[in-house]
Amino acid sequence: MNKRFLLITSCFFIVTVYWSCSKKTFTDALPQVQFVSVTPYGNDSAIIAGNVTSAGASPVEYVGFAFSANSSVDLLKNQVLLNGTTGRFSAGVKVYHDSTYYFKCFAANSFGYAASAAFKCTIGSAVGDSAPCALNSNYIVDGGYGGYSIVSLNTGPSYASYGGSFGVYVDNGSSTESVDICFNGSPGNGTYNSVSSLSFDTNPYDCEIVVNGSYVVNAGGKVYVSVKSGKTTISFCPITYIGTSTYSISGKITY
Amino acid sequence: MKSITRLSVFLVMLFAGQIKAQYIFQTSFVNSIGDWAYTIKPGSPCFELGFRIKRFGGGFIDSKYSLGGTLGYFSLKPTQDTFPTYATGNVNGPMQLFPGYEVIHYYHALFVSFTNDYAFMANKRFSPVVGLDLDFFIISTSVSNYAETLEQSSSSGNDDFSASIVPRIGAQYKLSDNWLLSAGAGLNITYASSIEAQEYWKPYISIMYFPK
Repeated sequence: MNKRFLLITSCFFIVTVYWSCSKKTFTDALPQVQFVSVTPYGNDSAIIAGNVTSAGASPVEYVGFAFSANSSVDLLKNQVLLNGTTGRFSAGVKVYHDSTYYFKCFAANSFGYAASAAFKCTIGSAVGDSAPCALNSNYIVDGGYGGYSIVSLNTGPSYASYGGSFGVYVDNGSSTESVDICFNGSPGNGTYNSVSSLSFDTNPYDCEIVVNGSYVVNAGGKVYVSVKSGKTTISFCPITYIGTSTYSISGKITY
Repeated sequence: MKSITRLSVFLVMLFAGQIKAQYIFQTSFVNSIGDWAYTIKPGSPCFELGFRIKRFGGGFIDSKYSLGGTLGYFSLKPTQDTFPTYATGNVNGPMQLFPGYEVIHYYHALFVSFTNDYAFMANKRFSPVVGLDLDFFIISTSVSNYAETLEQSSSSGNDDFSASIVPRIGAQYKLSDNWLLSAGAGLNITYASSIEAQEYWKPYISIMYFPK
């Protein structure tokens, strides 16, 4: 009994000490982030994206980016600080096109912060894009009405009737048929995504399209913008909206 | 550390005044748990020296219920040399995150433990035991903090205070009429502290001597 008790006690002590020494590391408590992409935007900007792959041991309080022309990215230089989130996050930054930059993203929780590896990218010029279908210039094909030539075309902040800061409004001259496209800023080269509402949406590649002042185009539609020689061309085909039924709409607008 | 030195002298004098003391020497390991485990390494040794100053219900070594006191000490190590911390602020511009770091130079704890034990089968050679201790800590730390532009500070020799209850479970084995071996584990639950709560559990083994 004496030896047995000593053996049991010793085993208990060794097992508990060994088990207790399965260590956590401070790195386990920190969030993990990954830099995702750089997308040129307009003539002097880029949309940069990161992803929080793990929040760590407490909720993420801040996420952000920093970038530099040097490979040793100082997190205090060109820093963009955002509220904490999990998953993907993005921001627009001013950069020179045809220049090379190094980007990092970071995330912070109550334990500390962690940053991604530096992502090297040469910012190209944003490429103009056009819808993958044959379209007549300044012409709208509305599945719920038919086709019509654009008679009235207006652009600017006052035509962002449904959100954003820049609108493109076209109609058939009698205002019985109209398309109003609202953007978060004057659109540049690129492919835009239609959303159901631009309220609280600051993504520069989102837009809201309203047909006939009543029908919001379904989310996920593609709108292509090409800026060349001072002219902007917006094209889409087909995107859909729900009226009395689901209708498709295509068009090409140049201003 | 002055507070720790004064407390140590006082307690040694207090315990040395016990004429018919039953002596306890206990060794254990402080194993950080919860959020504490990310910053404090588990497995730091802890040493306690104490006395049974009262006993009830039975003979000397066969007491079912006993009260006691120990003086203990442990020193903890951080999980890494430097912790990447940060501060936020707007210095002449938008809100920014300022990277920084924290260094824990040392963490010493001296504590007094008032112990309560209940042995279910104290008159037998082997008995399961449960206990509940009340611990009072004096904690001495040295920490340096830095955040670019915003902060650079260092504190050393600060004495903080903490109080915990420690429920325990274990077993004892009577080696002879004078010697008692005990082992078990306890969980430290902080209920008052001027510093970050200490979250740990500790497996222990102790040897008690009951002089005739």
